[in-house]
Amino acid sequence: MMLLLSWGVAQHPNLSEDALASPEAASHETVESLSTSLATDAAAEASAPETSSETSSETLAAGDVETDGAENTANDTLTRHGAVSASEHNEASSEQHGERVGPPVVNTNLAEELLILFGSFFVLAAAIGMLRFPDFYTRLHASTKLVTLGGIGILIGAAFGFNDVQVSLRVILIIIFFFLTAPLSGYMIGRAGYLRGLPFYKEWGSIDEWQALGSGSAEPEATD
Amino acid sequence: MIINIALICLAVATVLTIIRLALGPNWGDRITAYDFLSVNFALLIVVFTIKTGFVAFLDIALLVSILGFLSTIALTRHLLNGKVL
Repeated sequence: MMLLLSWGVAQHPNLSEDALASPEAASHETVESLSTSLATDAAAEASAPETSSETSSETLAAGDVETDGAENTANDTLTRHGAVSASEHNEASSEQHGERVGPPVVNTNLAEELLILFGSFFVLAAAIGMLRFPDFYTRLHASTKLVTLGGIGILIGAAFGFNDVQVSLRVILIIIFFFLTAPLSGYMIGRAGYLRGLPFYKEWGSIDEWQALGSGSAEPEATD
Repeated sequence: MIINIALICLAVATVLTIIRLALGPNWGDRITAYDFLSVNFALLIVVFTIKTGFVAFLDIALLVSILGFLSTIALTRHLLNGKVL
């Protein structure tokens, strides 16, 4: 513990000079105190070998303080003052690093808001088409409009609204992922639906061209 | 203001898609509605990121879209081949 505090003192660049005049002497003193505390710890363990780790650490801390108090009071107060000032400075620096805890303010222009509104309008239109179309295939057609129009509007609006490199890279990654995977999932759903024989909507005069050409699969069994 | 309108549009779209997911007559409608719902949820998270300003939600949007795509592919392959891989 003392070693860690003195290491923090020695490692800190902005240490006040009045708190610690000579860092070499302080480190030498802490090494001495550490060795003596280790010796006292070993003696305590030799005297009582069945003590638990908590009591050994307590004796370590007690021996540390005692040897520090016994050896050199001036250097001890110096190092303690330095350690306290270093810990205070560490807290102050952590507070300085923790200034960005709150969410950053996003300033969106009118153009970006119009892009987001465009995208959300197409998402709503695709959902209405999803609810209102009569057929499985037409609903699949409506659901692919979601990514290509709604997704591109919302994601490009987000990429320009933040004006940050990390956000733009992540949004571009999401755009690439959507445009790679949305046609693939639509193709897989349509292929599975056709090969399992989902029924067409007959009232509009729809023709199964794949079967009419004679190269289709066997006649699709009516499941569900 | 416009961000709130966009959030309302996406929420209404989510409700309509859940209705289709509930009363779709086939399994194909339900898989389509599920695929729609995953992409819709990712876009909702992106708009919510613009509203609040926490950038870490974009990773969650990417994760949701990846999970939706993988589950859609697994469902279709299971329904077509009888096995996933």
